[in-house]
Order: sequence, then C-alpha cells, then structure tokens
Amino acid sequence: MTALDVIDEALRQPAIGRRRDLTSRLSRLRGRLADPAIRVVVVGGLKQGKSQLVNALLGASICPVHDDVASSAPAVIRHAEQPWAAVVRPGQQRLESIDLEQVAQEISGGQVVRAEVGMPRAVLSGGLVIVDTPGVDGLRSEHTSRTLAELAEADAVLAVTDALTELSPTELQFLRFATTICPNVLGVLTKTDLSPRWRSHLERNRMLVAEAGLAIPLVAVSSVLRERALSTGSTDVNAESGFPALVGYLENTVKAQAGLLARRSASEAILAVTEQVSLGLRAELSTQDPSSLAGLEEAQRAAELLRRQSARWQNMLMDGMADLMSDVDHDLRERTRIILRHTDQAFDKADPAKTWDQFCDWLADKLTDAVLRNYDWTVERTHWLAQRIAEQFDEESRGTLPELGFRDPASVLERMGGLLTPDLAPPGIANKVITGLRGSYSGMLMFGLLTSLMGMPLVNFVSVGAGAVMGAKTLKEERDAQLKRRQAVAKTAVQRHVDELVFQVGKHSRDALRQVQRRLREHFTEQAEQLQDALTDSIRRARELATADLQARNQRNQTITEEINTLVALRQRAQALALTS
Amino acid sequence: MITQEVLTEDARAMLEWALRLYRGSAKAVNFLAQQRQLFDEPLRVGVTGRAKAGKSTLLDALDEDDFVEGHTSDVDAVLHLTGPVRAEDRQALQGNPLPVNTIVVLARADELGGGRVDAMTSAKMVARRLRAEPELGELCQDVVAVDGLLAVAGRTLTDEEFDAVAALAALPREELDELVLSTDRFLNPSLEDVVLRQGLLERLGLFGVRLSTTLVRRGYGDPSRLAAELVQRSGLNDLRLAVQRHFTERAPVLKARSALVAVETVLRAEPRPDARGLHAEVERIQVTTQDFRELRLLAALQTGRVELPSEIAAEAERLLGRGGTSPASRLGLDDDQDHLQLALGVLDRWQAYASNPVWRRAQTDAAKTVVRTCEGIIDTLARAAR
Repeated sequence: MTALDVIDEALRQPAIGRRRDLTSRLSRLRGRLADPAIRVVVVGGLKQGKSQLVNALLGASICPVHDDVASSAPAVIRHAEQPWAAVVRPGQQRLESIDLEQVAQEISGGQVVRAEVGMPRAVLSGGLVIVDTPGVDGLRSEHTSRTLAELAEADAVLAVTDALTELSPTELQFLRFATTICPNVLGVLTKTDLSPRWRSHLERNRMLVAEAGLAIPLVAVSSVLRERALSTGSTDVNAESGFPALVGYLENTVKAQAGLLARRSASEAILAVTEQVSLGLRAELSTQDPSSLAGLEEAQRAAELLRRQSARWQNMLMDGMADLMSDVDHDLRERTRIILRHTDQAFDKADPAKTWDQFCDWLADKLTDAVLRNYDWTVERTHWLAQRIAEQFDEESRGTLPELGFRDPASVLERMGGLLTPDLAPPGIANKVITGLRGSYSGMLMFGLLTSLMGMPLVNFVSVGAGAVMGAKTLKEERDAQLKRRQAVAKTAVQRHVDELVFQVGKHSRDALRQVQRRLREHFTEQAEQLQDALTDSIRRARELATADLQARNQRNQTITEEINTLVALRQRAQALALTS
Repeated sequence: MITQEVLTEDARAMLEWALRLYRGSAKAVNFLAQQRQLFDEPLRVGVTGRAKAGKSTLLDALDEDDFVEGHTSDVDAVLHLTGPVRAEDRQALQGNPLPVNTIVVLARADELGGGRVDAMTSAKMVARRLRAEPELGELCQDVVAVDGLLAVAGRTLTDEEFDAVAALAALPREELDELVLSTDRFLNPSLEDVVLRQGLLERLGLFGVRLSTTLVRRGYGDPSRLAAELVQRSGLNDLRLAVQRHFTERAPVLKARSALVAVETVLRAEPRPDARGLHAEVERIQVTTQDFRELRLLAALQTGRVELPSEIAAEAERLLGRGGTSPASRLGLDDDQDHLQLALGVLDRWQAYASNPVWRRAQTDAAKTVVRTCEGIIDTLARAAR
C-alpha cells in the first residue's frame, strides 16, 4: 500500500471529510506526494551562509549573498533542461518571468514574495527542489513567517549554522522546532574555511544535539571551497569543501528514501489527523444530542401550562363576573340612596302639592344620570375584566376581544315611565267648615257646660268665644296634619319609584352581564381550544421526532463507533507505512 | 565647561545628602557608599553582548582599565556587542532609559564579510546603515564595526609575526591564494613552518592573514606601518573616537547621571517622608542642568518624540553634541579657527526658531535648549580666546 493510497483512504473517511481544514491539509500533502518533487528547505539564522550554501551546491549565483541581511524572500530552485527564472510580486499570484542573473537582485530588493528558478543540475534530478529561505530572527519577524510557511511543506530540512561558534541555545531550540514540523533534518555547519576550530565545534555540536535528544546528523561544509572546486574542477577541493557529504545526504538519504520520506510524512499527517478526528468522535459519543428531546419536553411543558391557564381563566371569569354583578348592583343602590336622601330632605320642608312638578323633573334627571353612570362604569369594568382574562393567554393566541354587545338601559328607563303622582289634593272648603264647626262646637259645649254650672246660660259670650277659639285651633291642626300626610305620601311614592327603577335596571344589567359572561366564555374557550389543538399537534410531532431521533441517534452512535474503528485501522496502516522500507 | 563642574559638585552633594538621610539603613548606606566611591573614579564603561560575541577580545583591543565586561549596573556607559543585529539584541537594548550612553559594536565584523579582504569595508557600511535605521537609532547613540582580533594583533604585532607575514606575502600569488583559502589548508601539516602559521592564525584569524599579506604586497613593508594599518582597518580607531565623543567628553555628565540615578534608586526602594527635600533637589538638578537637557532632547530627537524640520534636525543633534561635545564638533567644523563669528550666527538663527510662532510648544522648547547650548559654545570659545 503506497502513501497515496493511505491518504486517499483517509480522505474517503466521512469523519475526516467533514473537517475542511484536515482534508485540505491531507489534500495538500497528497498533492505534494503525487508530485515527484522532493522539497529540501534551507533554513537558519541571519548571516549563517544559507544562500551561499545553495549557490555553492548548485554552482550558480542564484541566491543573493551579501554582508548585510540579503534574502528577504524564499527562492525555489528545481530541475529544468533550460534555465529559467520567475518571481511572484506582492499581491499577485502569477509568475513574472525574469533573467536568471536578476534573481539575486530581485530577492534582496525586497519587492518579491517568492522567486522560482529552473536549471539543469544533476543534484536537482529526480525531483529534488531546493528552497532557500530568509534568515530566521527570533520566531516573529515577517521573514521568519515566510520561512516557517516553507518549512511546513518540506520533505527535508537543511538547518544551517556557521562553524565559527558552537550551537547557541536559540539555535538548538530552532532545530528541535524544525524536527517537529519535518522528520528529516540535516544540520549543516558552514564557513569551515574561516574557522580554525571547526572540527571541535562540529564535535561539540554533535554532542549538544545528542544531549538535546535530537536525531539530527551534522555535516560541516565550506561554500568557498566548493565554489573553488567547481571553478577548477578539482575533486580534491570538492572533498575538502565537505559538500560530498551534503550531496550524498541529498542523493542517498533524501532522494533514495523519497518513498520512505513520503510514507513517513503521510504517516505522521494521517496519525495527527485521525487523532484529532477520533477525539471529536469520542466526544460526540459521550454526549447525546438533546435537541429533539428538548422539543418534546418544551411542547409538554406548554400543554401543562395551558391546562393551568385554562382553569385559571375560567375561575377568573366566574369570580370576576360575580364580583362585577354585586358591585354594579351596589353602585346603583348607592347612587339612588343619595337621591332618596335629597328627596327626604326636600320633602321635610316643602309641600309636595306645591313643588311636585318641579320635583318630578329634578328626580328624572338625577335618576337617568345615575343609571347611565352606573352603565358606563359597568361597561368599563367588564372590559377591564375581559382584558385581565385575555392576559392569561399568549400574545398571539389571545385574538381580539369580542364585541360585548351591552344593551343600553335607556329602554328600561323608557319602559319605567314617569313617577306616578300621588293624591296630594288639599282639603275643600266644606271640609274646612265642618272641621271648624266640629272644633267650635266642642269648645262651646265644653265652656257652656262649665259656665252653666255658674248659673249662666249654655250659650253665653264665654262659650261662644271659646267655641270660636277652639274652632280656629282645630282648623290649624287639621291643616298641619294634611301637609304631613302629603309629604309622607310623596316620599313613599318616590321611594317606591326608585325601588322599582333599581329593580328594573338591576335586572337589566344582570341580564346584560350574564350575556357578556357567556360571550367571553365562548370566546376564550374557543381560543383555548385552538391553543390546545396546536399544542397537541406539536407534542405529537415532537414525540414522533424524538422517537425517530432516538433511532437516528442509535444509528449515529453505531456509525461513530464504526468510524472510530475504521480510523483505528487507518492509524495502524499509517504506522505500518512509516515502518516499511 | 563650568556648568559641568557645578553639576559634579551637585551630584556629589546629593550622594552625601542621601548617605546622611539613610544612615539608618545598612543596605542603602552600602549601596550609596559604593556609588560615592565609583563617583570619584574615572568613567566606567560596561561591555555587554551574547556569549562568544567577542567581548574579551574587544576589551583586550581597547586595553582600557575602566572598561568592564558584563553587567550593566554600576557603569556609566555601555558598549553592546553583537554580530548581525538580531531581535535579541534589540530586546537587550530596549530597557535602556537613556540611549545616549550606549554604543552598539558589530564585533567580529570580519565574519560578516565572510573573511574576504574587503570584509571590514563592508562591515563598516552595514554599521552605517544600522546607525541610520530609526529603530536601532532609538536604542543607541552610535553603531561601530570592529574586528577585535585584528585590532589586538595590530596593537601588539611582533617583528617575528611581521616577518612571518612578509614571508607568506613573498610566496607566489597562486600559492598564497591556495594557502589562505581555508584554515585547514593554512594549517596543512605537510607544509613547513606549520607551527608558525598556526600561531599567526591564532593571532590574526584567517581574515587577518589574508589582509596583512595583501597589505604587505601593497607596500606596507615595515612592522609599524602594517600594525598601524591593521589597527586602522580593524575599526578600533572608529570605536575609540565614538567612545571619546559620546562618553569621555561627557564623562562628568554621565557620572553625575549615574550618581543621581543611584540616589533615585534608593529613594524609590526605600521611600521615606523626610526624603522629600532630597527628591525635589534631585529632580531640580535633572530638569535644570543644561547637559541633562541636551541628553534628553537628543534622545527625544532620536526617538522621534520631538520632531524638528528635517533640514535643521541634523544640525540640532550636532549642536547638542551627538558627534562630540567640543565646540568644533558641535559646530561641525574641522579646526579651531575663529568659530566665534559662526557660532553667533548659529545662535541668532536658533533664537529665531525659538520664537517661531508657527512651531509647536515642544519644538520651540527644543530650540530654546539648543539656544542655551549655543550660548555655552560661545562662552567656551570666548574664554579660549581670552
């Protein structure tokens, strides 16, 4: 099984396919592996001689070599029958063709993102691609990020440091970092020509690398000697330059083991990717997706709420209406009681016989006013009650309140008619004469009998006088009694009228209120029924969904388990891939 | 200048005051007493840099007693050694409160150029570029390229060594080229005199061998001329000049600054209410002393905190003593002719700047500081004339 096959298998996994980032990583890797190119990325700190190393390796001045910081963009050099060169400008994608001689200048000029070079070189045959990168200064600068981007695509890394000093802790740290990105790192010590102690530095560095637990072979080279060797064609000088070891590494390790490198890269990538995906799947297995169950619970909660609401609004309507009726009755009685009190006060003094007509008008006004006010108040209270009940329902299920259809009590008032005039006629003259005579007769008789005892005749001046006085007195007493009677009659008449009115109007409003109650009940019952229907439906659907979901979930869990098993198998294949040679 | 003497006395008085005030605290007294002792000693320059940056070689080359390796406390000024200037160097310099007391040295400068004969020329160009780089300019006063090994060799070249170099230079051109192509070849044990060559390589480095043989071929035929040329090429003279301009000429100011910083350190570490008067006095000296004003304005101009029109910004920095504090270097003149007339002209011009209504407050304040500097220059020149 080749690396490509395993990657393809990984890409076919639905669990991996769902992760765009991972598939793109694997696709990139696949593209790179399918491409026979073997990318060797040259990295290192500032001024370590990376570009000169590349130039010396290829025997051409492609990369900029300068005493100041020279390279600001990577140069990608591959095999070609005919030399060619191109650069990518910032903000552009396409390659812009340039002269081979200009490449170094363009790269140090800083106005390119990347340079691409093709040239006929034996070392580049077999798909070897050499990438020279800008120096790494700390792990932050712009140059550094470009270098790290190249490093991510590397099949092999040449980590360059000069032989003038031992590896610094920073350089060791960078080496360790490079091995985490690419498993194939070769340490290259440059400038051996300048360093009298390069051999001891090489030994010391080998020790440092081993102490750091890194499996990085080291070679020491001199680019200057290599260039000399290439210009003179001397194999001795070439051997002296240390380059044969480097070229040997490229040929025997990098190229020859390209298949192994590819398998290793693929293996590591797949192990990393499956690790991530498996973690996600295991996490999914352990937590159940509760979304549809939540839907059912929600519907059931809503139904329960509705049941409680329904009981509540019915109670509210009943209680509210009972209260309203007694309140309305009380209100009417209160209003009329005040009118009656005024009437009593009026008739305590006035003679109804004289003021009756005037009084009738006043009373009619007062009563009409009281009845209408009571009616208004009733309507208002009823609306308020209806509103309160409606508030027990949701905003949308409330609907518009029905027309309550209150009947105006005007008809009652009309039917009642006016106040019946009681008998208020004052007594006639004959009546008064008789009353007067009756008084004077008894007076005259009383005093006549008394004076006759004194020997006076029965009718004398005393008895006649007494009779006259007594007659007048009787007459006055009779007149007062008459007034009192008329006043009482009038009061009774008014009382009876008002009672009748209260009874009639009360009956009317009770009837009206009962009707309103019926209407409200019908209205809200209808609303509640609609709501209930909707809820029942949603509960049914939620239940169906939950059932289906349970099945789906079981199915999903099964799928996940299968996927995990497949991934485990895939991981085994990936591990095997790295081990086969 | 007379103000520098006043400043020195003021700074010493501050140290004494602090010593009296803090006599109860053994730690503070120890520190202050040490500072007072240092204050009476010559200017101390610290040499810092990464391991293997060439610090000890440079110290050998400078051969100055008052230059110490390592730590930056207890010193008045700093030489920071670096190869190619890296992020970590910038970080190391970042904490520096007053960049005017730091010079960055590109040590082992020959290696930058791959040991070619023209490597030092190239390194000096890199130094010039870095000096002009605003980012680094903020962090130091100057950037100088030095090859310490070459400088040491130049200063101490023996006749035997010269003879060995001359013998090498006498070899046929191609033979010599092959020999100095790499250290391995140069130390080829199958050739004779390998011990001698080994000694030469230790002393000069491959670059030094290449350079000195080339120089002998070009006619530097006797030891003293070759030695002088090696020292010249090593950049050591440039470094000495930079130290002279930036450190030695300002020594009293830098020493006073160290003393005042020391007093402030104690005041901050152990604040106490009865130290208020001392605190105020230290601040007064720092604010009113013209030399401090110059240092601060110089730093402000270099860091861009204060910006002057570009055509006069360079002149301002020069007058403030960026290139040295002698009247001649402040005025940008080579010899000590009658500078007075010219100085008066400069003063008039800067007085005009100081009252320029278009300028912002910070700019006119800067111009006023420069005016005071010009007055100081004229004063010095007038004294000298008398």
